[in-house]
Amino acid sequence: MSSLARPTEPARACVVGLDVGSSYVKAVSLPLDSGARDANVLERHLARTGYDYAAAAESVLGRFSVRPRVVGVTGFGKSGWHGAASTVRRTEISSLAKGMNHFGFHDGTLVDIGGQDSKVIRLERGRLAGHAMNRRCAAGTGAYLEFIAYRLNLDVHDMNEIASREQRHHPINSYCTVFASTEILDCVRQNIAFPSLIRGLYASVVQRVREIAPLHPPLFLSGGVAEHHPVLLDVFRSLLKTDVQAVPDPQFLAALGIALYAREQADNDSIQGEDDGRPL
Amino acid sequence: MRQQLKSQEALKGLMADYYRRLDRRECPVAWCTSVGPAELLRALGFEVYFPENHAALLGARRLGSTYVPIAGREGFAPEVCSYLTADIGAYLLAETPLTHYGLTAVPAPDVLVYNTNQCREVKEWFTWYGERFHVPVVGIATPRSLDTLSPALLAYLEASWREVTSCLESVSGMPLDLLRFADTVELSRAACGAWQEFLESNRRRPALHTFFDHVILMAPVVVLRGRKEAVAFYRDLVSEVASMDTSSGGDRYRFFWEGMPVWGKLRFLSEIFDRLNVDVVASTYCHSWTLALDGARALSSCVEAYASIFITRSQEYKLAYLKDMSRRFGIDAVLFHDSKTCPYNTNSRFGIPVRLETETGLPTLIFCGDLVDMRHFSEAEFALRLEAFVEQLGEAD
Repeated sequence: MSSLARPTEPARACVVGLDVGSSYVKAVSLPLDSGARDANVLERHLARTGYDYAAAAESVLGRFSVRPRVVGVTGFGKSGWHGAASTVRRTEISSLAKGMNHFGFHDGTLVDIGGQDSKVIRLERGRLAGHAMNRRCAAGTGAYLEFIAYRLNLDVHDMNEIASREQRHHPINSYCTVFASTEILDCVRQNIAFPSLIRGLYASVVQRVREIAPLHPPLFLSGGVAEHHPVLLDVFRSLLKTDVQAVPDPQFLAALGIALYAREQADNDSIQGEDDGRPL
Repeated sequence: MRQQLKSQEALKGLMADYYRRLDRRECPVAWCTSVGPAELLRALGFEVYFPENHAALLGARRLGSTYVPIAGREGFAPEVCSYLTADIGAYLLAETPLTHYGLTAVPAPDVLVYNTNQCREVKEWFTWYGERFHVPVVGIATPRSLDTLSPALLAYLEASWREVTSCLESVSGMPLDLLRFADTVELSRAACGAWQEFLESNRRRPALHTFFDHVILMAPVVVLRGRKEAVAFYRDLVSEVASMDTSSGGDRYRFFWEGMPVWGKLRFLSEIFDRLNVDVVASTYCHSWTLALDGARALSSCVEAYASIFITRSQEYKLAYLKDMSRRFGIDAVLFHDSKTCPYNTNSRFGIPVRLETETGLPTLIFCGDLVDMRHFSEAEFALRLEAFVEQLGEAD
């Protein structure tokens, strides 16, 4: 199993995978030279998507030190970006499955929790065998945690640490994100331990995911929430009574997957050769 | 690009004539549910107006989110059938898309007639209007979730039909002419038969038409059942399809649509399926008007046909029906529309998709939406789900 390490390598011919998500644009580059197929990611970059996702994608792409041969684009904004002559587009669901295969995870269930979607993806013998998503409402996704952090005047990154102080969670019942934050305030007034309430938010995320589709083991987590809120793994394990593991660099899994598709495209186009090495 | 059916043009004139005839009020007007006893009403001399057709027009014009909240004034929750809430909301604002045909308002009813074979909402919907217009509301209370149609059930339903007939005779001021009723049922049989023949023509490859043609072309079999114009229209349609060039079309996926149409997104849906190389070739919805009627036994065939539509049936029956349709139409995958405000015609909530996949290997995709209220449908979410589903099918090929 190869790992998705931090950028260390000098400029080389490459492809880039762009995951234009609702909250962040994530991007990785992979080497094209034939001797380095299992090598690490060359570079990775991240930026807030904001309202102009095409500009955000362009900005992230501009940070790479080498012009990519092919750009793969996935995510919610994949159709709106047209910045490269050679582009391959796939959904983030197929890209996530591709990334899973890269790490040798060929069977099981991947739960990807992003800014506005929670996706449950079933893999069988390396093949995308089914998928399901949150229905109608984005409660139980990254936006849910961000909004409640805002209402409680917390830094969203502190929530993980607060929830880690407590092993039990206090259930948050409200289906609605706004009412959930009000429910927490009510509980605080009733002197219920704050860490157990914050842990309850993570439990609420897990319960939402459970409703989406059966979670057949082995179970994997990806997405920005898994990356920045590792306490979620503990909560998954305690509620599901099963082992759960985060994939390497979980926020970049879809970007890696689409980069792998881009590399296949580059191979198919037989356009490998000497890169001009110019910065973008 | 698929060939445009010439019958689409003929349909416009046919529907315009229908609405204008309603507006002239040369006969008493009965409001009827879309799978209600239209033949009985026509045999008794009523012009027949269908509020569901009106609601679908509101949906197709993307007016649902405008009108649905207005019905809240009358205490109707937004979770209630959006046909009902959009239609009542438009009525409260005295607005209608029928102005396109020269009408200033929906035609006032002399009587309202429902059949609960679709849902219970139709009774509440029609009762509200009955109180507004001070006219009688009568109906047939058909049970649902039926495995079979037992003799006892059919006897009960036939008695209900007879009671409704008596009420309608009082309103129309004339007794039911059984010969005229038989002739009307026979015309319905012919229209439904030709409609079915048209739908079944899509068993061929490549598909010549899709669900998004069907939901437009179905209008006469809903609103003109029992009239000769509907028979002529569908016979022409069948002839047109028989003469179409079937030599091109390529290798495309064939999907089955289960559930209500998303009226406000027909163009978006048609285009995205086409772009992804998918033909939605058949549906439970459009096949609901392939009623097995028989003029030789007019009443009993109506009783049976209207009680045995897909919506009234049990989970076991529905699963068997979907398996059969998938086999006959050479289906690659089945889409289930989970319609927020139409639980009775949403068939993905009690395990049918899982069982269909397990027992046949057919992939299924459940998507969330609504028939009229487009606040429940996200284009971006649908596009992602469908694109990923097609990619998944591509991997399996």
